[in-house]
Parts: sequence; C-alpha cells; structure tokens
Amino acid sequence: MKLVQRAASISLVALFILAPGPGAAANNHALDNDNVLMGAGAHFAWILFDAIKADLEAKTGRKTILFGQNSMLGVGCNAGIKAAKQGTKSRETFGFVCCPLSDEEIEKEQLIVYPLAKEPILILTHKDNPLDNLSADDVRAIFRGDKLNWNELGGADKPIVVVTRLHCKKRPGHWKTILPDAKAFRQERLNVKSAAAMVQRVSDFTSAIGHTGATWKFKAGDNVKILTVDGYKPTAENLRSGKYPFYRQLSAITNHNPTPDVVKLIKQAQTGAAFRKVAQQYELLPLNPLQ
Amino acid sequence: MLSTYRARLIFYTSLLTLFLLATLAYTYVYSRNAILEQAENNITNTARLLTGNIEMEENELLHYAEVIRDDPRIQEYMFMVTKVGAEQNALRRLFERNFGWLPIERFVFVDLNGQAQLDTQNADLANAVQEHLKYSENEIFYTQGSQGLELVAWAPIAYQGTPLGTVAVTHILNSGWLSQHQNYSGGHLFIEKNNVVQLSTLPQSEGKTFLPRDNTLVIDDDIYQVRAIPLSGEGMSSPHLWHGLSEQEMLNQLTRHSQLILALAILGGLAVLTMGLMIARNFNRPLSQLMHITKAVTQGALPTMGRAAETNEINTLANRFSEMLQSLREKQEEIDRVHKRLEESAITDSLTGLHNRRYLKQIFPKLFAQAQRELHCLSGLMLDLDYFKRINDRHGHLAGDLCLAHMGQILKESCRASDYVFRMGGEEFLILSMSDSTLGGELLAEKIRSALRKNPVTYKQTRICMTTSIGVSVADNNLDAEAALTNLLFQADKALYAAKNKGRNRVIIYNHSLYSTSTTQDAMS
Repeated sequence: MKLVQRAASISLVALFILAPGPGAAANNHALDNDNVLMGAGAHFAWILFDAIKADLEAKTGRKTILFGQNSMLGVGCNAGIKAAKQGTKSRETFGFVCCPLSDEEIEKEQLIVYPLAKEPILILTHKDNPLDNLSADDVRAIFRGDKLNWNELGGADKPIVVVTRLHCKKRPGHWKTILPDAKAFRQERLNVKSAAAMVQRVSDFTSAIGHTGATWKFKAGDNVKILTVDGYKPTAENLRSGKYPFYRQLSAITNHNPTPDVVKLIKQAQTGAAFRKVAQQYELLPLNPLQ
Repeated sequence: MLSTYRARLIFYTSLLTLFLLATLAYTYVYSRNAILEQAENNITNTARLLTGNIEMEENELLHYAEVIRDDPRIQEYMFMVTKVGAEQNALRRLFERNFGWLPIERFVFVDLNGQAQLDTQNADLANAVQEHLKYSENEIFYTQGSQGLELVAWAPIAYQGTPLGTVAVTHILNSGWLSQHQNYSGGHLFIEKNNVVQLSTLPQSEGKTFLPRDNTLVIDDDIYQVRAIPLSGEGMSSPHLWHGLSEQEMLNQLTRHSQLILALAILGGLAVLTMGLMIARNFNRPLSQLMHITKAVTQGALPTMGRAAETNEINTLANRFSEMLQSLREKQEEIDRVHKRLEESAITDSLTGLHNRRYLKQIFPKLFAQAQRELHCLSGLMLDLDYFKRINDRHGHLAGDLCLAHMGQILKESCRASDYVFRMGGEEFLILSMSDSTLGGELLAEKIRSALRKNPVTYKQTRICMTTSIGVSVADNNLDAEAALTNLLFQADKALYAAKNKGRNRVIIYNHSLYSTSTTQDAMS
C-alpha cells in the first residue's frame, strides 16, 4: 500500500515538475496560437468574462484567456493596467479595472479606457443585525467614526466594528463614494485586503459593517446581509436614478495601439447580449457610450 | 596426588563448581552495590531527562503562544474586542477556526486591565498571568489553577504598535500528564506545594507532608530517593515537581536479582555436577573397568568383558580389549588341552592305555596316605606275562604287542575303578588295590590270572593262549611313602620271581621266607 502511495506521490510530483506553469501556459498559448487574446484585471472581470467569453469568441473568432481567477496571475486593477500596457500586435492583451482611472494616470500610462458599467457598492452587516436600512449619511457617519454604537441608529447596544477595504487609494470613485479619503475613515477599524476577507470579518462580528462590490458571489455560510441605503436597494436602476449613492465604475483598458480584434472584443463586452445579461444579474449599470 | 584421571576429574569438577559459585557470589555482592549505585545514577539522570522534557514542553507551549500572538487576524480581532468593544464571540470563532487544533488546554486574552477577554471561565488564569507579570518577566510559569497545576506560556500582543494585552495558553499538569512522564522515567512523580503533595503517581501520597531531607523522603514507612525537577519561573509559593524512587522497590529488585543469582548458582552447580557425572560415566567408568581387567590379566586371570556400543574411543578401546581377552582365553584353553594331553601321555603307556611307572611315583603317596588314614591294606600285584619272548619269536612283535594290549584290557576289566594298573615295562605290570585285608589282593590276583588264561588272543586266525605269574605284597603302613613303595615293589617282585620259579601261571603271596631266599640268591648272584 505504501509503495502504491509512494508511486502515486512520485507521479504527481513528476507531473507537477513537467507540467508548464501558468506563465508558461500563457506564453505557449501566445506562441502556439496567434488567435489568443489575453486579459487580466480585478475580480469583477472574472464574473463578467466567464459569462461572456463564449459570446466574445464567437464574435471575434479569437480564443480569449483571462488570467487571474484560477492562475492567480494578473489579479487586481494594477495587473489589468499592466496587461493593457503590454499589448502588441503579436501579443494582444487588454485589462480590466474596477475603478475609474485619473486623467493623470491615463496620460502617464498611455491608456485608452472603455467604460463598461457602474457596479453598486453593497453595504454589508452581520445577518443578526436588526437594522435593514441606513441613510447614506449614517453610513458615512459610521465609516467616519461619528457613530460608534448601533443603538445610536436604533439598533442594539453594540459597538460598531467597521471593516474597510481601501484599495486603489490614488484613483477616484469606488469606496470614495462613501468617504472621499482614507484618512476620513474611522481609525479603529479592520482594513482587509480582499473581498473575501471583508465578507469573513463581517460574518464574524455581529456588530460589523463593511462594503464590497455587487459582483461578489456570496456563499451559503456567509453570515452577512445587504442593507438598503435611504431605503433603496443597490440596483442598476437606483444607480441610474442616482438614488443609490455608492458605486464604482468598471472599465476595460488598452494601450494606444490596440489591435482591431482587441477593440472588437471590448466593444462586444460593452454592448453584447451576454454582457447585458450579466449586468442584469448583478445589477450592473452598463455604460455603453452608444447609449 | 592427582595421578589418576578419576582424581583429576573430581578435582577439576570441584574446581569448576567452586569457580562458578565464587563468580556468582562475587556477582551478587557487587551487583548489589552496582544496583544501588545505578539506582542513584538513574534517579539523577531521570531527573535530568524529565527536566529536558519539561523544558521542551515549556518551549513548545511558548511557541504556540507566539504563533497566536503573531497572527494579524488575531491582532485585528483583539483590537476590535479590546479597543472598540466588539463582542468576544468573533474572537472566539476566529481562534477556534484558526487555532482550535493547537494541543493546549486553556487559552485566554488578558487585556491591559487584566480582564479575560475570550472566556470568562478563564478569569483565574487571567489573574494568575497578571500576578505573575507583577514580579516576573519570564514567559513561562506554573500556577495552581482551577483545574490543577498548569504550565502557562504568555506573550504580549499588539495591533499596529498598539499594545493590546497578553495572550496566554496553558497545559494542565494532571494525573495523565504525570503518568505520561512516569512512563519515561519510572519511579514516581510528586507535585508538591507548601510541603504537601498535591498530585502524584502514587495516589496514597496525595495530601501528605512532603519534607525531603538529604534527598530522602518517607511516605507510608517507605523511603524514597527524591530529586527536584526545576520548573521555569518557579517561586517559593509555586508548586514543585519531584521525582522519587522507592527504596523498597529497589530492594525488591535486588531481592529478585539475588533470587535469580541463587537460582543460577544452583542450576550452574547442578550443571557442573551433571557434567562431571556424565564424564565419569562415559570416561572414568570404562577406564576403571579396563584397569581392573588388566590387573586381573597380569595376575593370570582372563575375565570376560561385555561389549559396548562403539560410540566413542573409550568404548572402542574396551571392545578391542575384550576381543583381545577372548583371543587369549581361546589360546589358553588350547594350551590347557595340549598340556593335559602331554601330561596324560607322560603317565600313560601308549600301547595298553595303562598308567606307566612315572605315574606310579606320583599316585602312590596319595594312595598310601589314604591307606594309612583309613587303616586299609594297599596291595601291590606284580604281574609278568609268561613266555612272552616265545610269543614274540613265534608270532612276531605285532602279535606280542597285541597280547600286551589284550592283557591290559583284561586287567582294566578285572580291576575296580578304585584300583590302579600300571605297565612297568616289557611284559611286566603292577596293580595297586585298596582293600580291608590282605586277602583282597590275593583274590584280585587270582581273578586276573584266571581271566587271562580263559581269554586267549586271536592273531591272524591263530589263537594265542596266555598265562601270567603274579606276585602279591602289602604295603607296610608303618613306613614312609617312598620306603613303602620301594619295599612293596621289592616284595612283590620277590613273590613274582617265586611264582616264575614254581612253574608260572600262578599267584604267590610274599612272605619273609621269600625275602630270605631272595636275599640268599642275591647274595649268591
């Protein structure tokens, strides 16, 4: 039995050693198949991309690969910007960012931004929290530290645990729709580095409050709930009407010399039927310039 | 002194037995000291071993505390609990999710105010940590908690440079812990506080006074050799750990050892004696038998020896010797037979089968002595075949020999078994006959004369008639044997001569007149 296990272990190790790594896989795709288009970016892109990949490939006739979700390469907005910058005719790449880029950054990095959609930023609390709605001011007051106990908001007598994910600090929008500056947030807070950690923290503390994008896929064991703000749910319609105040802008980006196929792919992502279906599912507000 | 193998064998066996017994006695005496000395070393070494093990355990527990302390999520949650006032359950859930697998018994966060933050049931532990921090910075200490003696490791915890308090983990030193360490060490372990046994692998000692003197302690009339096991951060009021070894157990061990040695001595002695007996049986006994037989052989005897299976050299040698004896016996028997034949031929006349003159000289003293002893008459009958020379001349010497043999046969048949018949030479014979009176000889002589005359010899179809003249005399019992024989032969011969002179074929009894006649004739001749 031990011999079998040992042989199996050796086989697995051998496969692992002989198998090409994620980077190698990407290079091989590029070398072996000129039709591959490659992208990277923030996590929302995985949700989007998985849903529209077949549609994109059908329209462009090109195989497309998005790094990040499985390979853990190219995660985050910075990775999306890097992928966009690296695009050439022989290596056709693009990126996704979850927040709008500043004009300075667009100019500096020589990028073209293709707005995709607005994504509501959800306000999360523990599911045991009796409150279901907060005003935008209260949300801001809580994150600012002006409100320290839920009883100040009509809730239980529990100190509020603020959980934040203040990423992309130099870019406008996103969490900055809650408070414009990281320094404005309450100092006694939990600052996490991923949406998963955010959901975990809010699940752990019954008196916690946090935020994350609407494209986050919650799991059954997550003890969180989504609050309405000023009585409005975080929907695309409420974003369009301006009744729901917290959102971020999702965009695709390329360098100044995108290939026609990359442009075609992005246009398809902006306007395609598959994209609209995803947007409807996750309450994204499409930002199709044609519209 | 040790000239024989038997003596050497006994000596060597005795020497071996003595050596064995002396070795075992030496072993017993020195093993006792060695056991006591070894027990002394063992208890010291065991104390060192236990100290090392406990140090490892202390460091391991401290490592757990540091792992918890260094976890950023724990720091965040601790911050939220202590600084923001969030509920402790979040911290507990995080701890159980991330560190529930740690092999620790109790865990507590002590905030800067000394309050237990994770579990109020561990308030005593929080207090112990606070008390400890008042007088010591040692990261490991022991305390008597609600669940018994506990090993405590603590580490300060902070969040982004802000001190939050202390994280402490414990390992309870209960009876299971003691038993586990007892398995490594043997003997017994005692946890003592304020000179009283709090917990022990020796249950009857719990609650009893623990005041060792010179590393010796008496519990229930049993003396224990004890050594202190130093514990980190141990203070005067802290519990103390001791390792003890019962002298009674050591003595029991010694007794078992001595019994073992005694058993070995008996078995060894029996083994040596058995070996000696086996050697004696297989080597000395056949050798002694050979020696006895060779001695008998040198004394002229040729005893018989049984044969043994030739399983060894000694038995083979004995068998060869037995065969040699058998061969000698056969030779001796042949020699005896030849000797007997020679002896018989020396006293027997070959023609007639009668005794000769040599045998007469041998047998006469016996017969004469018998006659003297029994007051019998020993008669001597001197016979001479009449006209024998004429038979020889007429019929030849073969006929003469036949006549002599025939006469010998007549004489044997006529005489009693107790009579002796001799051929004295030529055609002359002598008969010695024992009887109650002088008449016996005369009657025998007449019987013989008559039988010979009536039984002629046939030679080549010719009848040869024979007669004999017989002179009879009686031995004088008053003489000695030699003189009696000479006298008897002389007188019988005189009587025979008289029978010849009177015409042959007759019997003449000697009397003194014959003596005077013969004497006269001898003188004249």
